[in-house]
Amino acid sequence: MEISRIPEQPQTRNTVATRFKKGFREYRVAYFFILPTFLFMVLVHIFPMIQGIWMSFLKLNQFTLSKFLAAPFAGISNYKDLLFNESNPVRQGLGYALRNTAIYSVVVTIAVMVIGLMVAILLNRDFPGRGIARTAMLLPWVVPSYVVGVLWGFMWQKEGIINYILVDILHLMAEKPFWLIGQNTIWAIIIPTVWRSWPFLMVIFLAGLQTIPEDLYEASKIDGAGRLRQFFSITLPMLKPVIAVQLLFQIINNVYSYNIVAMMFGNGSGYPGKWGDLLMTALQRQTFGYWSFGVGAAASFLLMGAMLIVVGVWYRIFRSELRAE
Amino acid sequence: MSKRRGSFVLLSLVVVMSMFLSACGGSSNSNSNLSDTDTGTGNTAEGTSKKDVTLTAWIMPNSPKPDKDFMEVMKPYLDQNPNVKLNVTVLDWGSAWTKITTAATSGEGPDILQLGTTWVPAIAAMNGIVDLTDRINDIGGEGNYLPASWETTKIKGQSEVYGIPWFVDARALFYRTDALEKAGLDSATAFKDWDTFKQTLVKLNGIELEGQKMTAFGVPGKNDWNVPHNIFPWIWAAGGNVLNEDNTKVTFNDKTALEGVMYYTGLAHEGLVDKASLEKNSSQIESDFSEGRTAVMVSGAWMIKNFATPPEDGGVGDKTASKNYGVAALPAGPAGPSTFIGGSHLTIFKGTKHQEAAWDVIKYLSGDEAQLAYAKASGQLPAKKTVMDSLTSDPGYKALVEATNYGKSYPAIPQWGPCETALVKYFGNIWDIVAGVSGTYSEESIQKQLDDAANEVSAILNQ
Amino acid sequence: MSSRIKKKLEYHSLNVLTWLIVAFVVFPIFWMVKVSLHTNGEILQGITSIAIPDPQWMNYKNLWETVNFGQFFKNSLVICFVTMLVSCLLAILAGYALARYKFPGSGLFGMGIIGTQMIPGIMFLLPIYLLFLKIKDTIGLPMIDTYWGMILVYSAFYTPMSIWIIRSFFVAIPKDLEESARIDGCNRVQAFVRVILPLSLPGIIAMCVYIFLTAWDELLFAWVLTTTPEVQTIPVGIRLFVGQYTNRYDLLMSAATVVTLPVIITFFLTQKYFISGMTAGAVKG
Repeated sequence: MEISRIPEQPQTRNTVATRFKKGFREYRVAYFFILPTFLFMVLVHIFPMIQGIWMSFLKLNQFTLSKFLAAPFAGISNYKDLLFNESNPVRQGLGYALRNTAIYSVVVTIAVMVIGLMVAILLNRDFPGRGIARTAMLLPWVVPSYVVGVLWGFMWQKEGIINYILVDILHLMAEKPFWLIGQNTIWAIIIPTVWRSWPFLMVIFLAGLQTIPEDLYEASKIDGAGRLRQFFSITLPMLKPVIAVQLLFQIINNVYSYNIVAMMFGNGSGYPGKWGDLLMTALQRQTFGYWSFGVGAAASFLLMGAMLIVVGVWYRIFRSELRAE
Repeated sequence: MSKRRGSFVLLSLVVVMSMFLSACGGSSNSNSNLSDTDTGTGNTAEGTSKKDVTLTAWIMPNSPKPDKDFMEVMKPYLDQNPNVKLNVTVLDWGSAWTKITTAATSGEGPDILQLGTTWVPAIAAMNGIVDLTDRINDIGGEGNYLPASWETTKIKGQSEVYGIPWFVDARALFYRTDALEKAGLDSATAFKDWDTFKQTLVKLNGIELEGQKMTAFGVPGKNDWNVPHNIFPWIWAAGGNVLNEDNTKVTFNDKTALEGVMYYTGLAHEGLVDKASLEKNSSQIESDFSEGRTAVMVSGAWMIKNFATPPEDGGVGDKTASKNYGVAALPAGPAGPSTFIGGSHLTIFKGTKHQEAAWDVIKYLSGDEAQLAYAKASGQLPAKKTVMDSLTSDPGYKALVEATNYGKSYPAIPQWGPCETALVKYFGNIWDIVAGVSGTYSEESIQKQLDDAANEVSAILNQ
Repeated sequence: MSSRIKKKLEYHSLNVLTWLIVAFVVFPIFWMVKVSLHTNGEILQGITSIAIPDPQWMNYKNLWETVNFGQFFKNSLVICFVTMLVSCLLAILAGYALARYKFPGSGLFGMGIIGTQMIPGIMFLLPIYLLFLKIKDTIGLPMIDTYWGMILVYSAFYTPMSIWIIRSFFVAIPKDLEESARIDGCNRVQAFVRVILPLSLPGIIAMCVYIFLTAWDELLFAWVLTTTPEVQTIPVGIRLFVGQYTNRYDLLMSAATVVTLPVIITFFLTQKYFISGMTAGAVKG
């Protein structure tokens, strides 16, 4: 994998130091620009993360927590438990969470991206009241996610408004279904998440659409291109860098989703159920519910590793869009 | 190309490792330093007393206006002791555990700390709270408190006391007197034992009051914060137990325990509970009762306060139910009556520099006046037995206080928190089965969940 | 002729579609506001009618008295606003560097900051807390329970995403636009201010809104890193309305409405700046 390209200079010996020096001189501005961010990252992310990784090799429970980093060393037993110990109950619970998170992330990500883009295009026209429409569509984003959990929790009740609309008004179903227990739970968490997240995508896409020069459309119009063709030959390619980045963020956000689910079932103290439990609620339970900080950290680290692979795949696919040129 | 990348990785690794190593030694040092100096100053600084001291207390939202109600109760003390300044921070139950663990790990926290009864052994084992054994005579000692409550101030099998009971959460049956009357039932016998209880519920089911049809019994399901507290009284009443005597073996999946679970969930399965209630939480069940949708429910002392509070203040004093309710102990099972006893204890945080002053506050809060005042503000049962007894002029409180005699609490072991987490999960699955949204309801399917729960809890105990 | 009718039909049906979507989107918000005007009992029972027989305006008075909500509100505003400024500045700098320079390590840096987003919060919650304690021990600067502690953490949290958001906008802007400005005699900074900034302004504002609202919503770290009401933020405070013994869903919903309204108003007043009316050069308005 190619990370950087520097003009080859056969006459000087190409050591790390000289290359760095040369690179530094040439790109002083760039380094200067990223320096503050780099420092922030080291302080708030890298450094604590390393402690976190260290935690995953310790036997950290309520008896040893006060010793923290000096707790007894557990080697790789935390990892072994998670990966290979069939009888380990933790593993079973994580299985459901993994399945639900996969369904949840894929559905939410696709729905949010598609709806976001479609509505952005819909709003990127002139029509009466478009200011109001745009603002109105942003509203879900403003509602705190823990409130979203509680609010939709009420709306999903068996005798709640959603069943009322579906059954009593629209007659879409014969009987009022349960949403907050059983298999439907997964929809009860997916739909509010989509509802809350797509406005952000819409804003981003709307902003992206406005960076597309109008003359591109004019030119294709002269060539006789229809709307659909314009969409696929101009809009989509021009938005590709924005789409690429948002796709990744959506995946990350959804895999690490917590608030809405946690608040919908027992104010954060309940168990979301076999069809509602997500990785983050499961990890939270593992860490602060089972007081098994080592295993929690190990699971977190494994998750992080898996996600880095996802990022790698993502980077492969969108490489050409992401490269600075 | 790959060589260059390699060197980058190497370089960053070196940087990172060096930071890591220095941090590792450093933070453990600072930790031990912290606790050393703290205990040192804790003993000396307070000796001279009457010096200005600022205390911090962490409490949970026990009452409608958590911090104001608490400060109101503290006011007489603070007026008498102008040198003491008290800051109060309210933690919400959902995240309190996270916050308290972090504090206990670092030694930086409050002076006075409210802990749920089941948390005390764990935080004590974590070395997060101060041993109060030498001080308990100041507040009248063990005899002043309910045995079930006092048990949870210690780690099972040890004699040290780490917390002073502050208030008690006990559960009892709340029923509609008018519904009982209409069904021709006598409240003295209607809730006597499991058989009569079921008969009562059958008679109450579908009864109409004020043109509204009632379901007999309101029971919250999986989406609740009380899931184990709702089920265990029935296991206890059946003769089952959580763990065996010395807390080494799980017993809540044996035949007697299963009987309790089957009886309780059977009520729902047989249609005496509205299936829709199985997705609700305790608040919603209490609301169903106040609105006249159910004739019986299980709840605690706060409900008595709710019935006496006007709607402007968030109560349900305007409802018919508020004038027509009675309280009775849970029906006796094959092994007699039982109920759940929880609540909260006051503890002194290990990192405090003001142990004496903090104890003085706890002493005040354990006094008769403060106990009564806080019970009134919060709608909880006071922990002190004499104060509890003084409330019994109210028939509702009387029944609750009587019910506390049969009260049981969970084993006071440091691992209880994780055990409860596991139970929440499997009992949740049981409720899903009962509601008919996952598998079929049968003794085998319930037993399977209990066995799975038992496996997980055993693993936790054997850690 | 027929194509004009077709166009008109299309225009109107798209409008209808738009307003239908608006209705779907706004309904839960409307519901939240409606629910906030009911009593706690009514909420717990589940509400299925549109009418509000007896609006409980008292909820809006009570919510300030029950918990110290005004202070939480102020804390959230200060912390989120400053975080927004800091993150925005850092992200523009780093995003520009990543979009326009291919310096050694740029790939690693770009991937590294994405990597930081993969760390589950609960994994480094304790370490950050202890790090903050250590900073206080070593240089005497209190970090826990302070505005700047929160701002530091939040800025670090939301800068990486922001960098990638803004970088994707910078990349999308054709390089020749910038180069032609430089040929016209602008230096790099001037070219940036005159060409890049106006073109990417919608993106920058979207990014700012993203930072603000994500910080506005953060709970886990706010919970652990703040201890007194003087610093605690709305997510911490709002949860005090519901719990084991007190469940005032009416107040929770009115608090949520109160939290939502100012942001809605700000959106409405500023939306023309961040969505429409970008008239620079060749860009469509």
